[in-house]
Amino acid sequence: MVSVPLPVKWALRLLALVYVFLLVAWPVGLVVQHTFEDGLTTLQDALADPDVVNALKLTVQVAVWAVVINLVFGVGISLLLVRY
Amino acid sequence: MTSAVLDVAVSDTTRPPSRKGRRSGRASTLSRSSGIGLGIAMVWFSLLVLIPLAALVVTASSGGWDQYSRTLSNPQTWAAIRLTVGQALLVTDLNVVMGTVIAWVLVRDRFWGKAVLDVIIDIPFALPTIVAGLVLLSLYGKNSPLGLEWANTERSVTLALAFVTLPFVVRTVQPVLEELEGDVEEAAASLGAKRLTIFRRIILPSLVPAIAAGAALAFARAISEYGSLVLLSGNLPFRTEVVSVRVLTFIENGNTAAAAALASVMLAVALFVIVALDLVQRRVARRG
Repeated sequence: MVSVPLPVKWALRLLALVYVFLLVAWPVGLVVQHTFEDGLTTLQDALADPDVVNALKLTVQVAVWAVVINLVFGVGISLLLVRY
Repeated sequence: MTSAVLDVAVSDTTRPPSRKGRRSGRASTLSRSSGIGLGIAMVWFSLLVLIPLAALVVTASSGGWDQYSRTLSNPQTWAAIRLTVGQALLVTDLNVVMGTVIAWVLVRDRFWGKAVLDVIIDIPFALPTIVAGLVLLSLYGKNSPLGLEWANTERSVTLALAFVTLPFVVRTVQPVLEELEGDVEEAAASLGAKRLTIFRRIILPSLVPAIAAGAALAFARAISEYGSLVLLSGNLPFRTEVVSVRVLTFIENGNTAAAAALASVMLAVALFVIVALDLVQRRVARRG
């Protein structure tokens, strides 16, 4: 494995970290921070809404079914594509 | 549409070169049970992808060429196509560079917090795209802590697309880089090759197929993006309105034929770019 000069190594590391921080980590962190700004009440209010609970349940249900179907057909189709 | 495109791109890169059976001797190596399996798989694939796609093309062509030219000559639609394709190409280029850098850092570098970086890369995959819009709005919208008000500008489109396509190139390049043997690089170094030469002549050629596959995925995702743009870009006609929003407007106005025409144009664009990237990939693979 070839060694990378130290300045280049640091530059690449910094570039990757700053990019990901500005694009993903900081914005996501801000939203999480807003969620818990007033303690747990905002979260509790949202979860007390039956519409929200229903939406969450439906999402999980549909996701599980999609995963099961994709598992069966995905593995099957990839076997067919590669082996035959 | 995206998932079909994904399948094509992924299967092309991972398929081993074992296709002799087709040319020599029997026309097919299918046994009875695998034949039934193929039948079931094709029925499922047709119901899910092929028939809806064919129906789309039929709807689009029912108006004839006239429909196409009328839809495409609408200046607002044309602006949306230009914006979408332009931004998708820009974000794909950005991802090719940044995705490779991030993959490189994740595989070859060692520092505190690397595992966290690895997890953060997957967040855009896990978040619903509308939440992605909300998340970006908190940093780049009104009351931004950075003082940047990018909401409702063209930059917000770039930003949203860069967010949702971040993992593609990273996750395709990373495993290839991990598998790369170090001794070839050492051999080159012992023969006097400089670091840059080693990177350009040895490392990069083995990464190009993975980069191209990741770029194809990112591009396909970028031109079909809808959710993250709805909140962030404001969908201003001629400025930040992308094709998927335009299609929705057509459908809401009851103009299904125009929507289908526009959708099939985007399908052609996606196919063109994916085939082009596949050709790049093949050419590099043959040379290497």
